Amino acid sequence: MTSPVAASQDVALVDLVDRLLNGGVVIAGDITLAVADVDLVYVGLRALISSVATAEANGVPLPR
Amino acid sequence: MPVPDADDVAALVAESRAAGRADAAARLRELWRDAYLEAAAAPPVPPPAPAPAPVPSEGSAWWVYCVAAAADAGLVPPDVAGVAPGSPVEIVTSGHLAAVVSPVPLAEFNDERLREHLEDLAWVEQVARAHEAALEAVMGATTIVPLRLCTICLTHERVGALLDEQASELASALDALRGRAEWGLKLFGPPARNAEAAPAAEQDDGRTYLERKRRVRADREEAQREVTERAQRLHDALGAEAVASAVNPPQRPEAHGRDAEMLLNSAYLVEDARRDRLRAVVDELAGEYEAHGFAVELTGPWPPYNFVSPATPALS
Repeated sequence: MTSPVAASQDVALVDLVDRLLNGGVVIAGDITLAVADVDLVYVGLRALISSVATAEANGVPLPR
Repeated sequence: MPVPDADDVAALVAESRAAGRADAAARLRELWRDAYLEAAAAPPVPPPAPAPAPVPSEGSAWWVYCVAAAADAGLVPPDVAGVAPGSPVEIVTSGHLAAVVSPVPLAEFNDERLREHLEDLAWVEQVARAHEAALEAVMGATTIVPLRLCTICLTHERVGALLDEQASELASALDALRGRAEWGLKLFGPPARNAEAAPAAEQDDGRTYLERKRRVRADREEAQREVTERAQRLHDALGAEAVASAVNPPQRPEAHGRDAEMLLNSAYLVEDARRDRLRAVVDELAGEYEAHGFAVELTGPWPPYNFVSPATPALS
């Protein structure tokens, strides 16, 4: 048995996204993500993480 | 016998022409009749191939999480939550394979809406964690082949058809993954050093300046050697416990958000029976590495995302 550790909030979103959007089997569903869609998520991720870093640097308390 | 006169001959030619014309018309009439009878008896001409149906924007479709062996479908726990609230997962079987799916509203998951949602990181995070949680719930009960995020089919029949299409590859991937799980490893270097920025003494003459530059460069090369050696040694130690390994590009600092360089970002497929041994190996090396300012991070067990190749899901 395994314990559901990876879905807990402790796992960074970027680690999840790396696996869920770059790994796994691709089958041709009726709706699937294109490479451009994956890039879109990464753009958002970078924007989020740099804004978090900025907030922390400015001493803004972040919700956990 | 009297010789026919010219008038008779002319009359005869005229009569036979008229009769021939009538015979030709009758013959043509028969041909037309046959053609019509044949056409009426033939099966209807198929309509031109239909254009692919546009994905409707209402009703629901099926989000596909992973594939398992049909024989193990009964092991999937009841009430595993899906990505859409209140819609737990269901099983679709075809042949020896089973897909874990859950209904999602097309109003939110059609191509266009999906693209809008991808720009909303909170939405991505909620969906990614829900997808992962469902995989882990199923993975706790049986072997799975994880699917990439956002694989959606309009009907159960479509899901079954996709299982059939890749049946042999999926079955061999399941065999290769049975009793094994993925573990993630990251190695971070010491926090960014400011040593190089040490201010030059006021009285530096040319010789000491060059001396200092040379020392800085030698230190940097030495540090680089240490990094390479440590990353390799760690990777080898985990690789020795694993059935397969994958080295991914390190995440950039703006992605991992640490004040240190990521030196190694790798994944290992490890027998469940060797899990404790893996942890022990990592703990031992992590202790040693941390004493030198490095940080080692082990995550898992993960669904084997890194050990199914996108096109042909066989063990890489």
